[in-house]
Amino acid sequence: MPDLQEDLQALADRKAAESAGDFDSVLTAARSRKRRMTAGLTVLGAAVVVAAVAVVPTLRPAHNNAPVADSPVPTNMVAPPEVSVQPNPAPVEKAGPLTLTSAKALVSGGQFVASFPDKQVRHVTFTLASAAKPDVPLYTLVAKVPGDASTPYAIRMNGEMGISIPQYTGAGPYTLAMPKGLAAGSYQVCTLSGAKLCGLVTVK
Amino acid sequence: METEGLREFYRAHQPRLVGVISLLTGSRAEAEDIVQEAFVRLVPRWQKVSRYDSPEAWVRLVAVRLAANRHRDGNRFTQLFHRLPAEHVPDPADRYAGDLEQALAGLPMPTRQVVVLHYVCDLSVAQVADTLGIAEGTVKSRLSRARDALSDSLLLRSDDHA
Repeated sequence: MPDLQEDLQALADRKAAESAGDFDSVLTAARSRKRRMTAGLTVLGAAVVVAAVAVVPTLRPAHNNAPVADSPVPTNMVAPPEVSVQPNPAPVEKAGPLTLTSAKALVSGGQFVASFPDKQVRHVTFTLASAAKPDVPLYTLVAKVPGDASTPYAIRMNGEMGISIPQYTGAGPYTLAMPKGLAAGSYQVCTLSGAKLCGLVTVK
Repeated sequence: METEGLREFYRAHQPRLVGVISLLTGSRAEAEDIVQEAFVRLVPRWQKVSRYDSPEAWVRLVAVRLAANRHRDGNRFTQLFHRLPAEHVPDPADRYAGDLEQALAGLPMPTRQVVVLHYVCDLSVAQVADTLGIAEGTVKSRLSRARDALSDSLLLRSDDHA
């Protein structure tokens, strides 16, 4: 249809002849749009940074310590670690060098002398245990107290109750007596007060 | 230097492009706005588009799509408010409103695009199909329907001349 094409082109030419254009306005519009886009991107970038700064702290676990009344579910409270001050347990007192004289080849009921190298004041009581089982005291030994003729003696740890123990202290030396009827063997004697000092006694 | 090249390109192609787009929109003023917008979009891309085989084709495609978008948006606006007629209303500022122009304005926008690109811009059927992203058969069928619709106005004009 050549007529159709000619008529359409003539119509377009007529419109083109009437058109008015301004290239400078095109440049101005393009440049202002570019500035707006740059400013928009700047604002967007700043907004993203601000949002990131605001969001990061919220990623931490919430401190929801306040209990919700009648809440069917427990709050997500994170129990702070309980720090309690535990007193140091009594230091394990190692068996020290309790100096025992005349302690070898004792006979049952025999006496020996205990002295403290540290010269510390201690009570007159001692423990006696088998060397094989030092944790199981067999007797409490009461050393000789000056002016008390009943001392020294031994108290069996199997129920002998009600026996008074003289409240005497001193830096030693103390004279102790082995219980009568004690089986032959090695025994450990330890102080009951102050730093623990121990020594071995042999009963034949 | 780049600006001068773009200015020359604008002087050479802007009037003709306004004429082409006027056939799509039916309004020269609206066509001028659309072509202006197409050239504004060309400015930041000119360094790249100027190396194309046909920079004019790039601007024309942008303008054609802008015209289609405005037509679609205009229809939506009309349908939304029901106060403006959905049919095309010729711009009273346009002095020429002959039968052919009215017949063209009565075509659907996709058909109008095919007609303008084929008959006014001298694009082949294949080029029209490639430009609009449609099948060649679709282009042919739209051209056929357009010829049927426009033939009446052409016959009227022939009768007038006779």
